[in-house]
Amino acid sequence: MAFRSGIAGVAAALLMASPAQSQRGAAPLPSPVSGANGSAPCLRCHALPNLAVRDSATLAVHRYTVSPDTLAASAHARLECRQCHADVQGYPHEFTTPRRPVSCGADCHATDAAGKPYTHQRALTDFESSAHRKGLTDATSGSPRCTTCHGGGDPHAVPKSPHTLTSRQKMAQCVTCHDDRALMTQHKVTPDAVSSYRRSFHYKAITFGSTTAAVCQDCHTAHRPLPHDSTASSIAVGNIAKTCGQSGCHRGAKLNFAMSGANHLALRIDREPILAFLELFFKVLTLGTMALLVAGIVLDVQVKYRWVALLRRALAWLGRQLLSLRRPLTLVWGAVRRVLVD
Amino acid sequence: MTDHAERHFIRLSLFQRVQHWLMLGSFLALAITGLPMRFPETHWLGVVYTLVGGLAVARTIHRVSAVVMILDGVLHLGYLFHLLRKSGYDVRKAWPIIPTLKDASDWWQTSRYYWGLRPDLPPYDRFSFREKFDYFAVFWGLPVMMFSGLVLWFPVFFGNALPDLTIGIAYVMHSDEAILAISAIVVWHFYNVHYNPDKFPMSWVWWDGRISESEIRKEHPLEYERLLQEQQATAGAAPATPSTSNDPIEDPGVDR
Repeated sequence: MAFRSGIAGVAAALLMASPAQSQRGAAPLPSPVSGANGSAPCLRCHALPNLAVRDSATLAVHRYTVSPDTLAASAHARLECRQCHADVQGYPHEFTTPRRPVSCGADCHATDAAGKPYTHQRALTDFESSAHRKGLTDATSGSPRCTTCHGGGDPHAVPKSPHTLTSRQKMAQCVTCHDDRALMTQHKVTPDAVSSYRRSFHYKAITFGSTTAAVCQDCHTAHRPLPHDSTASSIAVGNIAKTCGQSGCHRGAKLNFAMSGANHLALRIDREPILAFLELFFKVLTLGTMALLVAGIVLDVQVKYRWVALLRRALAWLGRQLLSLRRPLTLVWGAVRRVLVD
Repeated sequence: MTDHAERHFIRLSLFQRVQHWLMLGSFLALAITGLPMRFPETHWLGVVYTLVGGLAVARTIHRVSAVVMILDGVLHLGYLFHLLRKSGYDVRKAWPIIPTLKDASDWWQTSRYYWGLRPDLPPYDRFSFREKFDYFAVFWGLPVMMFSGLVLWFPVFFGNALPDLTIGIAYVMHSDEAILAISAIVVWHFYNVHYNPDKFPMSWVWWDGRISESEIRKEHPLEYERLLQEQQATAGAAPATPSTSNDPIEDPGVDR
């Protein structure tokens, strides 16, 4: 196998700070926050575009390429590889036993931009009690895991901050799965959540440029979505008023307001006879009234051009023509009968 | 527009026309700023929001226009009461727009005329059944839009105070009644005053209040006869010539 030494060399040169880091072999763990510089030895191979391994047993291909540019632009740019991949020891890779797989909740000794220690543990704890918790342990469950929403499946590409996402981007994180009716039905989740949200004022406001209207995560929380009959849910009867009344939203909201169901009104309409009747009433009223009015207009227009009179004259003329054909037709019919009988 | 060879009558006083102008302006503004919200996937409607400077501006326009329309309605109610008092609390005399049995028979006879079963239209009075329909359509539509609109404008206030179904009901009412009102105006009312071949491009009564003698004789013959009778009865009083003043000149009894 041929190394693409040119690319490896450029990558190493870009990321290397001190020559001492370029050694192979079992090196001591670098200091926790040495940033991308500490990743240089890993990236010498892992930045190669087609770095991959085929599992001899399952024949599955595992790709191990990490783009340094993607990493540098991501939220994890200041981390070095071994802060997350803590069980990888040097090269050739000696893994710790037991393996310590990457966990988003692990303490990677990272700090936030202000220099304070930071972990994702709280989000992970929330997630473990959410309706999506199966995604953490079972990749085939259909439930999302951290990387499903953050980074589009690639943990090296997690965007710098969820708070820089637009409303539409935030919506997209949920809509990808929740607008798939077959998938939702399969998992016994309502398939109409997204379509009913699209009729809500919040969605329409976002369509027209609002940056403050509620998206899914604002009401259902990003990491702890739960069905409304679960008492811990942000949309449970005990919590929903607080959810609607959260800072930046409907201050002072009480339970009556919060229980309107207006965000997914179609779902409420299905359950409330009054609303269903009201919709039907207006449909009938509108169609009935407009039918009457349009008929009135058509009749008024036609009388000015005397179209009905014209139509009656045309029908009368047609009738006369048909009647005048009676004699010739009788003769023809008689001739035909004579030919056939004789 | 006005034919100076024939005489004219004042059909709508200035005050009546002002009420209509307020209604016209606010209705157009409400419809234009409201329709994109009803059909957010219709992109050419959304151009309105871009033109006015964004959703927030459009919302403000919508609410200001709503206040104008509500005040116009209140003004009109006051006007109705004034008419009633002036006529000595005679409802028929004060409010000729009230439907009567004659309107039902007018509608039936007009239908027969359309189907060629009678040679001419039945004689209409001051307001034909079509105009009464237009008027009461607003009398129904404005309160529906007003109450539902106020709930949607102050959702926390009304949502907290009223049962939880209130907002959903307001949403359905506001959304659906808007479609009915706009359809009725753009199709029916606009036919009567714009598209109608007799009126095209426009009936100008809403602007200067005048109706020509030939028009009123053809379209409101009963009112025309009554005006002539009143003029003869008060022979020697103000002649029915085109007047630049806005004083009603045809029916001295009740302020029209």
